[in-house]
Amino acid sequence: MDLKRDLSVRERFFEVAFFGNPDKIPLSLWEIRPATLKRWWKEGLPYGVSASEYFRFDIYGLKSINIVSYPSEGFRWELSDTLVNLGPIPPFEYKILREDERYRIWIDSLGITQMGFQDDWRDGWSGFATRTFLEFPVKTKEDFEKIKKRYDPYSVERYPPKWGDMIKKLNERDGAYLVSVSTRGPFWWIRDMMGLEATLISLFKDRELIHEILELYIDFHSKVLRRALEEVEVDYIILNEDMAYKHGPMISPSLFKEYFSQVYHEITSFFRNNGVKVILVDSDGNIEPLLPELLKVGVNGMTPCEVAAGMDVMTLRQKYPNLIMMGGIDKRKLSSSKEDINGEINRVTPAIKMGGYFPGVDHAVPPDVSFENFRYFIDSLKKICGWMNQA
Amino acid sequence: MSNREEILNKIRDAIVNLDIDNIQRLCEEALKAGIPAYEIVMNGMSKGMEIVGEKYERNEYFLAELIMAGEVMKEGMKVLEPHLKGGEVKKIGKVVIGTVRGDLHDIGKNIVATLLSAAGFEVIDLGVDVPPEKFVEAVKEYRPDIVGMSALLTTTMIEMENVIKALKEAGLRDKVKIIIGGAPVTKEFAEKIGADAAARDAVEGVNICKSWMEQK
Repeated sequence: MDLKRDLSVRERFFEVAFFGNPDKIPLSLWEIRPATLKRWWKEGLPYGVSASEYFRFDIYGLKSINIVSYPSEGFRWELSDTLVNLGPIPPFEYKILREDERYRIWIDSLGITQMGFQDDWRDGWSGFATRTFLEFPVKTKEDFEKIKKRYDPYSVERYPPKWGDMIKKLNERDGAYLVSVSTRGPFWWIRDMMGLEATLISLFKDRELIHEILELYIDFHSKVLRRALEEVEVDYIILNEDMAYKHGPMISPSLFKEYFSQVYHEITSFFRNNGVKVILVDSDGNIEPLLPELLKVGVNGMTPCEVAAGMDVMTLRQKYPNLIMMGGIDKRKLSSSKEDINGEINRVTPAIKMGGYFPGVDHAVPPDVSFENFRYFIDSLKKICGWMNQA
Repeated sequence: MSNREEILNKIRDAIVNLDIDNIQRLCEEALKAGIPAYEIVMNGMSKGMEIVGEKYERNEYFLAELIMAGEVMKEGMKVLEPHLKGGEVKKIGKVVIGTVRGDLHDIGKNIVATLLSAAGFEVIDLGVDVPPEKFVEAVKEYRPDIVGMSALLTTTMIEMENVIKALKEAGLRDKVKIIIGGAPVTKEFAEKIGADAAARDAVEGVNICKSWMEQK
């Protein structure tokens, strides 16, 4: 790797993404979740300090500001006063319906009724909470018509009161950080409304409803985001999907083509016409069978490349020479020995050197990883990525 | 091909082709033709599910098709169930299944339970967050051939080992085969905790269970 002058964060990002000549490689790092942090605070991480602060993710990581907000399943969502609001307005009323010592049943801001453990939610989200989903807000066309009213692209609350200040700050960034839009992809959008099982069944049983929900997706996102994209230069987009698992994608390539290709084509064209050059899909699991089509319809990147599902960055690099990748390092190896951690980093090193790849853990770091192991991992990866002389 | 065979093949194909619009009509036709309901289930719909499973293994079908095939079968069962006499459909085996303690994820477990039923197993679904003692009680009460456990997280899959220990302590471990599944579960992990098998996915899980019953 040729070294040259220190690049700005933006320059470095694009040099890596488009196989140029970066001075260093930024690491793709997830925020460390509460359950893991709690362990690390007992093992040497100063109490109350976040891992990103301690390990200086702001220097080595993909220093980014995401300019949009939307509700995540399970959570209470409040309208942001600095970010573009892409959730239901008004949000569904967050309400605990029943609870005892062990469980709680509640409705989140997306209108989803679910059961979770008190321990996972009582003192804030634990970070690795499992839930049983009991009911989703859209079961019929009539339900959809109702929820559609909450996705009015012209609601005044879509743009927050402090948006002007935010834009000013972003446009003065001078390459010091990246601006991103991380939002729901079309599959996630339907699933948030109907739940996984009903979504998959409706792909066969209620084609019209699915098409209507997808039409709303395009209409809503393009109308809301047009202003943001005109006012600030966005460096990359992440479309969150989680549409695959160990065995493969949840839907076949032919179903993807039938329902999603056109929607993807439209949304990626909209982003590209507004100057965005990097568009990634975020999906756990083995999404590889959908990759050829995703690349055809305007996506050019993939994250987090989950090793447990067979997503190997070297294989992907050979098959898709221009694919931008993030992640790709097996989270399970981090709880193992230092030799295993070395082995895992060595496995992806050729891909790091080839470019187009931001290495990092392939999902959130689980709480079975010790603080010492994570420190060793970060230090080792930093060396490979050219950060040796940094603090 | 006899008329009987032709109707059963149509029912099989309706499952394979995910033809939810026609499955009930075809089941009614079969009943009218004098085919017993249990035969329609076993030689029509279950055969169809078997083919769906094979297509899934060959990556011709994906999760969506698998779930939809289960949905088509459920529609057909609505017509057939009133005609099924208790105990008429011979079950190929009995499975006690549950998501382990500390884990509330049920999507994978539910898919496995649906496919096991479609394959002719009697399924006792213990639900989610199932403690080891509940698995032990269920094994005592239902005397299953197989115990199936599911977990979504690396932090909850360790609970599977506790279930196996509890079964050993109760002297029941050798009475059942144990199969585990879920996102973080591997064959190495199954071996380490003393399970008999780990399934990569629902279809493989059902195939393993079927092969165990064939060996009995």
